[in-house]
Amino acid sequence: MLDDKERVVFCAIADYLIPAFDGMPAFSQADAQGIHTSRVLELRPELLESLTTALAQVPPIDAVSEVAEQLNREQPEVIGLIGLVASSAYYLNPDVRRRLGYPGQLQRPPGDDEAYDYEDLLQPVIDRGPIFRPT
Amino acid sequence: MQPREATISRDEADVLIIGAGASGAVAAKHLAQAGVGVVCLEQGGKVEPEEFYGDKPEWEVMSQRRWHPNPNVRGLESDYPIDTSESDVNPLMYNAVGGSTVLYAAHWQRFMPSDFRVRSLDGVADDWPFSYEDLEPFYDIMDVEMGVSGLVGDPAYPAMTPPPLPPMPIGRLGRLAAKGMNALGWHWWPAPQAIPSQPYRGRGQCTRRGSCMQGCPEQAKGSTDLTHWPDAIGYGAELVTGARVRKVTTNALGRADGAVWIDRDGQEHHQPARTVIVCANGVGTPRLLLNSGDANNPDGLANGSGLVGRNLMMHPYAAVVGYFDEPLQSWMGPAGQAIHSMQFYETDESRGFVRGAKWNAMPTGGPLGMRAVHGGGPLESAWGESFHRGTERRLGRSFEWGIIAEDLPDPANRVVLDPDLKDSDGVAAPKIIYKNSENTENLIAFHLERQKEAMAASGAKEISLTTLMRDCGWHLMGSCRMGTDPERSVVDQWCRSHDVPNLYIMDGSAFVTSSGFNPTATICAVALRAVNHMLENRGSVEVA
Repeated sequence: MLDDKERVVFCAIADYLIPAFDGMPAFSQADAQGIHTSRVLELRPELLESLTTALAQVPPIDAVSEVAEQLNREQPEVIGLIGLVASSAYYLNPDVRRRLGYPGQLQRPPGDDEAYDYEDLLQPVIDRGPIFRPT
Repeated sequence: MQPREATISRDEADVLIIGAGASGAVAAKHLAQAGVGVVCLEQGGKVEPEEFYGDKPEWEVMSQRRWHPNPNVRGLESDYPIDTSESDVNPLMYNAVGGSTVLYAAHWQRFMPSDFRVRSLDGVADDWPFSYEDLEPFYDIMDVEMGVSGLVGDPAYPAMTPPPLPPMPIGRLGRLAAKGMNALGWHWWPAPQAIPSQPYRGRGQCTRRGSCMQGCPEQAKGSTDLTHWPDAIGYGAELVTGARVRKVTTNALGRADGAVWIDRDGQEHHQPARTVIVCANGVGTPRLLLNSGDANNPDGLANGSGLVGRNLMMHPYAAVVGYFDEPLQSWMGPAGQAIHSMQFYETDESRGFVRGAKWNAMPTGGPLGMRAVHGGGPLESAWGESFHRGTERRLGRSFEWGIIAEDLPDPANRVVLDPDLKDSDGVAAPKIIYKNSENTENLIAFHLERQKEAMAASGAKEISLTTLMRDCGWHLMGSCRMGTDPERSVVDQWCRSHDVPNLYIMDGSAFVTSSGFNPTATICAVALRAVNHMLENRGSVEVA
């Protein structure tokens, strides 16, 4: 997993990519303990080495916007990788999902009332008749 | 179901099937049911439902690697690498018991009658050596075996036998898409799917998790590891997993007499057989035949025509996503399609191209979506406030009209053996050489314009276009095509090699043309028709 130094750099750039906005938390608010980032890297261990290598190349951060823009110009794959890990972790947060109104991929078996509730819509299609070329 | 662990099989099989995917499963079940001794070699394993992530929060994270449809992204030992450096499209597949049906969207589409008469009707490509009517009884059987949900009466088809289950609900997005099509006077119909709308033959009802394309944790979706392999094994078929076939072998008479395969310890074995059926689909089958060359077959096995590997078709995919104000629950399944349309399927040469495409109205999934691919564009276009605005705009409030574009056979589009690339067992890997034709590009451009109109008619506030999705080559067809002329085709109408009379190819590679439809229903129906013919003529079938 990321060490403390790596996490500071990662969170700084991730917060620039995913800031607080319109009721949504910034990245580091949504993953304050690093739990979700660790989970992403646990599930996708092949990203960890690339990410730590990329973070080691990030220049000292005085102004994060300048660093992020510079990386995007010169090493877009680094920004892509940080963004991938950050957004993957961000959307694992249950509170983020709740704020989005996203319940996740839940079981929703069809109800009987949904079985065929579009007869009115289908009638014009039926009325126009066949559209295939007979052979 | 208990697939056998890789061990040496010393008994000669009546029939050896290579590949346990869609067509291999159908062939195994029906042959074994008829008392034929079947052995099937499958390079992958059996996937268990708890391995899927569709019922877990990490579903989207895992869809980008472990359950990605591109074998080059997954990079599993059971996969083989594919050189795509000269291809416009990446081939997609899954290597396991059930094959790509484990990850497919289960669109269960029949070809239309004109698909079998492309040369006669439109003057391009070739006619199939049989008709829609010849195949129809086998489509009917496959509907029952797969547990297809659908609504009879689609005016895009001749009258047909109703599928065994009522259609899945079309949901909010299906209704919205349908209203737009009605406003334009265009065809649509609730989509047929190999997904049970009600409990069916031991499988549960679809619960609409929407993770079909990363595997169904409910074990509801009709994948052949569930629909066919338990029966096949029950009838006595032997299924050997972790068995990568290196080559099909031949005897002194030039007949196929088995296959050399490699187990997961790297040990080679030979499975003898009287008849061999290759079911490795549009990339795996030509790869295997090209790897099966010897002094008598220097250009590969069954390749007297020189067409093994050629005429690959992959259905370039394009789409329009519409964004709406109202909530559509567009993370809800089935992931494949709510409704389809064949309004622009048949040829109208005034459009500047021949043939056409099926459209499918699909949900757009969870919040992570395609974040992985951004990099290099202006940061503010994807990140910062745009990150949040983009999610709010898309999540649950959008749907996609997709285009299954018929690409025509072109000998230059082909599967060859890569001179350098090998799989984990050191077997030569395939390379894909594939370019979209001008006809395909014109077709896609026309359809995208019509889909923009359809989205507008549905009330979309905004739209976005995907003019060609690179990771779209689900449908791998044509690379060992069938026909009546041995100089212009690899197999006959019964999927039997013109050159090797006891070698059969029963998968998408035998297709003459690609149609504009998802091909699995036709792959299975063609395989079943061929197996039926084998069984009807079992007294005179040539063997090793």
